Amino acid sequence: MKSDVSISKSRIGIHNSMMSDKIKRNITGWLMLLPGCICFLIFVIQPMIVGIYLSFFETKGFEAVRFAGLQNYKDVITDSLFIKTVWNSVSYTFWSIVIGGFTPLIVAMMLNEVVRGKAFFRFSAYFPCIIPGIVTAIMWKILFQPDANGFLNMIFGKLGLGPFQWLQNATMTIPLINVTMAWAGFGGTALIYLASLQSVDHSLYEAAEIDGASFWRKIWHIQLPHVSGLLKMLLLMQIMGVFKVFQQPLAMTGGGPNNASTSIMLTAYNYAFSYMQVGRSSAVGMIAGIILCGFSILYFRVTRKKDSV
Amino acid sequence: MKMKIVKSIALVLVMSMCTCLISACGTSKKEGDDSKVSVKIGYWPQKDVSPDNYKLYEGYLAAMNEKYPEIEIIPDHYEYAADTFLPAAASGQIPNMFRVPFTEVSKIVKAGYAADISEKFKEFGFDTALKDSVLDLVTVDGKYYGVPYNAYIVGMIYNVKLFEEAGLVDEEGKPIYPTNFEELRQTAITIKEKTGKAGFTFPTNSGWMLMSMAWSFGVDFMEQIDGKWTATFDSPEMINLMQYISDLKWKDNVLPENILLAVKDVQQLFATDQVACTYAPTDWANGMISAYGMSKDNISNSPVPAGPAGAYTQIGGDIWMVSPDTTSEQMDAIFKWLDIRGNGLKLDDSAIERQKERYKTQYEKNEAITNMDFSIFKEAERVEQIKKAKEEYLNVDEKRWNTVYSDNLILRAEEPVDAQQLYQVISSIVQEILTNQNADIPALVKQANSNFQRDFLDKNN
Repeated sequence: MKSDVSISKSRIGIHNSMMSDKIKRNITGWLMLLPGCICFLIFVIQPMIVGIYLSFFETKGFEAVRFAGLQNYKDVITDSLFIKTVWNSVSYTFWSIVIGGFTPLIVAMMLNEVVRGKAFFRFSAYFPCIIPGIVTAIMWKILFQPDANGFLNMIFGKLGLGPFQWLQNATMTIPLINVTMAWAGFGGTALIYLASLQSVDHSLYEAAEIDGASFWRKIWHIQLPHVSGLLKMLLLMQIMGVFKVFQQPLAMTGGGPNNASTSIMLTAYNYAFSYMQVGRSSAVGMIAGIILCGFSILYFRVTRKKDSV
Repeated sequence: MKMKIVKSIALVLVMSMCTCLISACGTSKKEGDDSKVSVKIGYWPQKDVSPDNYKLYEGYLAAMNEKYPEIEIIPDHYEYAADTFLPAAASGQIPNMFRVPFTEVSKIVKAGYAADISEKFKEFGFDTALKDSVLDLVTVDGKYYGVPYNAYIVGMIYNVKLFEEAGLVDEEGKPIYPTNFEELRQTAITIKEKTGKAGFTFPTNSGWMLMSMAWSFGVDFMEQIDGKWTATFDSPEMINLMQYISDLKWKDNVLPENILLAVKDVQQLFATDQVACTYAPTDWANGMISAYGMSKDNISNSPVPAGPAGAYTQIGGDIWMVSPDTTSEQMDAIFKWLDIRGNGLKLDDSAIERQKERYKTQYEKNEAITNMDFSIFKEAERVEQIKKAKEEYLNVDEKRWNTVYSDNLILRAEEPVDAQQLYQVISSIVQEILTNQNADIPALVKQANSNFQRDFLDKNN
């Protein structure tokens, strides 16, 4: 019995010394990770935990005053605009996939085929990404001026069309805001697709040409399968990003007309900054987070099923 | 050996990064001289952005240092913005004295980011010297939370060029002002017919500006019954107001095409001769002159038109508030600073000189200086002192710069509870009416009234 204990102790001793050896060996690596980990804790984890905590409290500024249980959640869910704002956010997401989901891939395929002036076309595609989001929103707001002197209306006027109401048309507001978002964001995503497309083994193209494959068949059978994993990941990131949209509606329409473009995160912004109700704002943020988790799980399930087929 | 050196350098770099990160999270060393009472004063102009104002503030600072050497004023450039205030206040970054628009006072107090200054407020005599309507702006639950810097009331503002083009001027060249809502409508129609420009507009993203109009139509927004607040604007008066606005758009076509208008959009339209008249607080004119280069001679004003319930106007202003961590000594220093700035009750000779300096700066920038400002003080002597200080710098045509104040005008402060939320509800109805010709106005008003009750009055009070 005694010997068993001493064996086990010596095993633990060996294990501990191996661990400390491993740590010593990798100490540089661990230390290299440290600044990133500290930033992650301060700027991501800490605000998230505070947000979750505050969502269960009655607040005074950022101070939790009294435990409120689920009252903040009840208050925001029973708000007469809540369902509308969730639906608007879903609508933003839907239109972002329709308008901006495949545009970067198409642009990447076109850039991949360019032989001359590659740098120019790549820069041109990426250029809108350099412009700050708020500037893009204001620029498009000016383009969408609804009177006859508005930039787009003047162009359509020359063709005998319009004038159009653009952002003031409640049914068009969200798709049009999505156009501006797609314009501002497609360049960065296109470059990621382009990097992936350029890693396609050229022997596949050569084999396809020998087999007499057309341009479209090469895209369908070589390029699309090659980027499909990336496409899924980027679409998921787009869904998660667009569902949280608030800067563009805030700058372009203020959420109007009659809340037609108010997103769920714009509601959270209004609770926090227009009304200074941080508890309710945190509750809206939490609900948005839960919805996004739901989207992600659903998405992974659907794509996994598809992959297994 | 070489590898070891590289590793050591990398380690030193990583450690210094960590140290920087951790030290950045700490609080900074307290500024100022320990033997003095130090106060941070916000809204301090930046030298590069506003050199004239910066020079004025340097003058205030020199006078303060001379009169109160035991006080150290620390300039702080913080300017209130709704989206930066909350995090700045929560992290203790707001100065001891900061300036906010009056609409923000009650929510800042509710959030716990303003000090109760009642004691000093009374000690320095503001409670008896200010007009009651102005005191309402800084009073929450019977306590004082701020010192008014200026006050304004909502009036009408006219673009003289468009009025002249439409022939709506009298023999002296003064615009013919509408005195009631039917006249306002007819004026707007004439402007549209004669100039092709919008006759009238108002900010549709800010329900605040509609309040004067609504009260004049006789709308009561809320009342307290047995301690419970009840929304009361599902009424024929509110429906009449909304019908009036709808008719301006769909029958008369006198509003601009763009109906999603914030305050800045309306100012831009007005200053660039795209719209002939609008509701405007008295402080708008100089804002448009400096932002859009509008000539002061192209501006005229009058009191708001009267509606079926009378001519109501909303009072507003900018307020100096004090951060909650301010000590009694610092608060005393703040009130002394206000005296030096010329915001106090008594103006000594040097304070009058500094006021003159301010008017001179405005005069040089070609801003409008009138003797028709709304005074926040009751005391006739102080009002006269200011009038006298302005005298040599007055630069507007008094025929056109009619006072926006009249004896028939009824002054009101904003609604007592959930005013910001009410503005949002009202602007939603207005936007629906202006984008949907077939909007069912009574149903919209009924729905808005019930939503305001359920979403805000029931939950917040």
